[in-house]
Amino acid sequence: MADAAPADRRGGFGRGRGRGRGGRGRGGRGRGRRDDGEQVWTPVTKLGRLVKDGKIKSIEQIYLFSLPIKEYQVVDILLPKLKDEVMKITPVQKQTRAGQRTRFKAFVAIGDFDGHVGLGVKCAKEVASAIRGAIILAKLSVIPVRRGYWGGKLGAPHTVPAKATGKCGSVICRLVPAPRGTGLVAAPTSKMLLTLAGITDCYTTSRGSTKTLGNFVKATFIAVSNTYSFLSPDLWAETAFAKDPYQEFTDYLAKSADKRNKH
Amino acid sequence: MFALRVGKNSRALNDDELRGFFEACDDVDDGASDDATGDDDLDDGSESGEDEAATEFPPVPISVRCPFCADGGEHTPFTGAAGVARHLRTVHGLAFQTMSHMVLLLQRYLDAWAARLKDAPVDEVATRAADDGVAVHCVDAAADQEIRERVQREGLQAVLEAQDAERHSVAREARKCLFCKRVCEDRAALFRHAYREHSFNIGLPDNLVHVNEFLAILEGKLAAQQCLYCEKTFTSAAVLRRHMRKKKHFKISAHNRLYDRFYVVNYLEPGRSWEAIEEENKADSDDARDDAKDESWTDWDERADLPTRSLFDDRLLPSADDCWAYMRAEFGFDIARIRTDHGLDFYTTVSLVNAIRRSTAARACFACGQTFGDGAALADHVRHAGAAHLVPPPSDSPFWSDGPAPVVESDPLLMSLDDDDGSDGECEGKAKDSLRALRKRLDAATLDALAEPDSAPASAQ
Repeated sequence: MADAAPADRRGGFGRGRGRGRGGRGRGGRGRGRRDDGEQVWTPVTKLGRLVKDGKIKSIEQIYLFSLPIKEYQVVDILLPKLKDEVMKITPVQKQTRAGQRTRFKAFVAIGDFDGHVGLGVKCAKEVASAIRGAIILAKLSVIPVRRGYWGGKLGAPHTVPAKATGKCGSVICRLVPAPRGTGLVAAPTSKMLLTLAGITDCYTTSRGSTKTLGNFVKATFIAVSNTYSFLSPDLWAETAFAKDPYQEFTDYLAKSADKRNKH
Repeated sequence: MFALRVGKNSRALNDDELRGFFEACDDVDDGASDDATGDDDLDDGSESGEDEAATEFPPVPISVRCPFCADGGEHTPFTGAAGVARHLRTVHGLAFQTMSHMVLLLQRYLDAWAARLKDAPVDEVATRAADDGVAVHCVDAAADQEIRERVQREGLQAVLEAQDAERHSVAREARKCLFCKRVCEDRAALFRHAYREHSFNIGLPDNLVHVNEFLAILEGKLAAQQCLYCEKTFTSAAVLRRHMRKKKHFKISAHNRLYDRFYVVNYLEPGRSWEAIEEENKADSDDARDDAKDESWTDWDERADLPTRSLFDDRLLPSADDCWAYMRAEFGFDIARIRTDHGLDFYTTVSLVNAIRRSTAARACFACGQTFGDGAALADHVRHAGAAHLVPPPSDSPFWSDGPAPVVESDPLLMSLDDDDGSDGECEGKAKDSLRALRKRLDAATLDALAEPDSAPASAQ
């Protein structure tokens, strides 16, 4: 349309500064920066390179070897169906020489309703930057959730496989398996986190200071991540160890490193 | 509102159907047809400089009731900050220095001051001064600051809550674009579309509040053929469109205070303009030390208490612990004792609570099965029956037939069942007991041995 700005001249909308009011005609346009909402990702880690080139097909391969994920685009590519949920924005004050400075702190939970959850916190001067930063941190903290059965193994797993506990600060949260149809017996924020994880039925009990909802949510997250830390009898079988991705693709990595160095 | 641009020699001009489009914008001279390339190099400064000198923005309309008036300000609310100041000065003899700073939160500010002045006499917090022959009380800076900070904190919380509510409800709805016919499926898509297609940027949706109101104001202006940036009115929609395109006025003026209340940044520090805050943001560098504190979850310190209904009557208690305490005091129903007495594990306790809820809903006492006419009678019965009566039925009774089936959704009573005693197995509990008993006997043995060194009791060391 004739109204549209030529794409190559306008600054990134929502990228970079993400200012709140500055866009109102006051320098909302940068010069010479690309704007199509996304910029091409050049990975800086070996893992990033393997994921971008499609050598690693699922995030479970990364979890198996406990490889640290340092780039959020890795999670984006391997888990495309992640949905984020802003739980809370609070103003936080800091004493500086020039007086008190207030910033916004965003608490974000992310999950794909099918076995993966993440939590992120970020403090920033603008609400939008805080939310964006928290979403990135949440993606970096995505963890797998093990689901099991309460009674017989009919249908899909629907509850936690065993009692799981998580502790944060003085708050202890405990997840107890529940029969199908119970639903999530939990406080609203915990319930949202458990739904994002893909758990359908669960009892939760909590102890400790109920005043800090933040610690309570973090304790629930730790409890949920402990589901895979529990060695249940069906995991007693001998594991056949496999090569980790760095070793498996070592030739590929060396080759692409060479190619890049040549240029 | 569709404008097709074609060259003079285009064959489309000969087409009869399309001619209607071109005739509408025939009055555009050809010089304007290459504005897509020419005007780009114009800097913001030169454009905005000449425009803003020309426009004077109307004063921001507000609606404030005076809380100092005896009738609670039931008469017409004031529509301008100047009007409020004048009224306060002449009718009530009060002058606030910083009222202009609190324009966004004026109602709260005045209400807070009214509450404060109800308790303390005026002279405590103000100094008398004569202003234009009228005696006024000028409020002290210290008292004012305290009230100001409180009001500002509350105002910011309210704004953030409103924004949060919006984010989960209204922002997910579809809305038609301001400038074209396209309907975008939610707010983020709408803003993205407005930026990409029309280069219209009013900021990121996460930094705005009451967005629907904001967009309604803008739509109203467009419908009245008023330019959003320079506020000039035009004769028709097509002329307005042409003006906005030529002058690149697809934006709102940064100086128009009318839009201040829609941006969250203005509630942060009242009195400082957003420009000052932006300058400070640029100068400030986020040092790495802040990141460590960023991770702390304790800043989110809301209470996690949920209102809980009592098991035997209709009373709603503010939290689950309060509910257990109430039932223990009022009805003699001590869940911890019942659990230890009957050795109930977690799931059995859940079944018990659910079954009690079911029988209370059927107006029956869970222990004896008697039915009653109404809730009050049942509550009385339970109250008078006492703790000895409130015993769960034996495990083969039909009471337990439904198992742990849920009755109330997210029952807070179930979330507060302390179960580290029964859960990890009966044996551990028993082991703890025997250990305690052994220790007691050991202590006793030592004392006995001291008292009667000759007699060797059977208890081993």
